[in-house]
Amino acid sequence: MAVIERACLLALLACGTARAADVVEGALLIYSDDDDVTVVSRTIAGRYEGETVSAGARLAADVITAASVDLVTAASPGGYEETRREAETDVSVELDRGVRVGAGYGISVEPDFVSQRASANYAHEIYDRRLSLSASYAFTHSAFGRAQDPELTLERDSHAGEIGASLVLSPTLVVEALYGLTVVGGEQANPYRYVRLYAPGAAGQATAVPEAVPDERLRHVGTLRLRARLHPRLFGVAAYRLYADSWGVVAHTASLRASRGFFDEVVVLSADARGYLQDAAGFYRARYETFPSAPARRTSDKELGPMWTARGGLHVEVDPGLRFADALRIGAGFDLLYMRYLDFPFLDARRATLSTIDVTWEPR
Amino acid sequence: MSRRPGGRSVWQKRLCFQFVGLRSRSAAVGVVLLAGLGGCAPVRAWERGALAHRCMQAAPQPSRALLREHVMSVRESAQGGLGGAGAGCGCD
Repeated sequence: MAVIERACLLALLACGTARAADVVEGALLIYSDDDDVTVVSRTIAGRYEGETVSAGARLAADVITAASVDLVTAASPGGYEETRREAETDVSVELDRGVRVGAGYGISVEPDFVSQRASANYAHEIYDRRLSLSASYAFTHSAFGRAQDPELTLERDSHAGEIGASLVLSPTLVVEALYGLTVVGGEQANPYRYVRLYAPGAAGQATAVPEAVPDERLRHVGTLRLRARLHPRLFGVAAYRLYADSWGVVAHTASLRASRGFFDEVVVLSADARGYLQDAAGFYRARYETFPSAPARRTSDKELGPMWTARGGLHVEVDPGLRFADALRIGAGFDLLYMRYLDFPFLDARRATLSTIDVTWEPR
Repeated sequence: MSRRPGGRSVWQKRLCFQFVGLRSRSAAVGVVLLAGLGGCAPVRAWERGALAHRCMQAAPQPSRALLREHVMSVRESAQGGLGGAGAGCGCD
C-alpha cells in the first residue's frame, strides 16, 4: 500500500507540474486533545475537468496516537499508535447539457480494518440551471478483526442513498436541501471495547464483557444549507442538519461561516462556528448494574451517550502571486473544540485543538 | 428499555416520531424550494459571478473540509449530510 501511495502521489504532482490537472490540492491537519489523543492527517487530490469528462483521485493518511481514558486493550494498556491509509478515485461524464453521471471507488486500510466503497451518482440542472437535482448511492464493505486474535474476522456492509436539490434564489443566494438514508448491517461492535458490569449497589466493578450492539442500524439525515453573498467582499454559509437512527440517537448540528476578502482578494479571512447536540442510544447506560447477568445490548462508547460539542475557528488564505505558480493559494487554520459528555463516568469533557495547512493550485 | 407487552419500545416510538417529523420537515423544505422556483427572477449568465466565487462554495478548501469533517464524524454519532464521505474506517 505504501508503494502504491507513493506512486499515486508522484503521479498527482506530475499532473500538476505538467499542467495536465485542473486542480491539485492538499491539506495537513493535526488534532490534539487533553485525553492524550493525537492525530496527524494528510491528504492530496487532483482533478481533471474536460469538456464532457472529469476525473479525480485522492490519497489520505492518518497517524493516530492514543492513550485515551476509555481505551481498554489487553495488549497495550498504555495506549497505541496506528496508521490508516485511504485512496479513492472517481469519474463523471456529461451525457447531455446539464446531465451528469459518475462512479467512484475508494479503499481504506488499517492494520486490522479494511474498507472498500463503490458509488454511483447522477446530477441534473434544469430551469436555466437554477435548480440542480442530484442522487447518489454507495455500497461499503468492511472487514476487520482484533490485533491479538488473528483468526477473528468480522464484517459489516452499508448501503447509503442520498437525494439533494440546490436552488438559485437570486444572483447572491442559494438554498440547498438534502436527505440521506444509510442501512448498516453486520458486526458493529468495537472488538477492542469492553463494558464494565457491577453488582446492584456495589461500588467496584465485578467483571468486564465485550461490547454488544444491534446488527442493524438505519441512519436518517436531513440537511438544509444557505449560501449568500452578503456584501461585495463578504460571504456567508449557514447549515442545519437533523440526524436520527434506529438505535435511538437523535442529533442536531448547526454551523455558520463568514468569509471576507482583503487587498483585492489576495488575502481571504474566514471565521466559522459549529454546535452539536445528541441524545443517547436507547441501550446506552452509564453504569450496568446487572451482574451476574449481562444485558443483550451493552456499550461503553461515550459517543453513544448524551453529549454536545462546540467548535470555533479562524482560517486565512493567501495568494502569494508567484510567477512560476499562478493560481496558487496557501491557507492556515486553527480551531478550538470542546466535547462535553453528559452521562459518562470516566470523562466529563475533552478539549482539543485542530491546526490545518492547505494548498490549492490550479495550473490550467 | 421500557416496553409494553406486544408494543414498540420507547426508542422505537421516538424514532418513528422523529422520522415522521423528519419526513414532514423534508416535505416542507420541498414545498419551499418549489415555491421559491416560481417566485424568482431568472439569473443571467453575467450575474453568476458571485455564485462561482470560492467563498460562496460549501467547502472552498475541499481537502481541509474533508479532514475536519472526518475528525467530527469519528467523535460524534451523527454521520453524513455534510458531504465528503469516503471509505469507512475503524476509527470508532
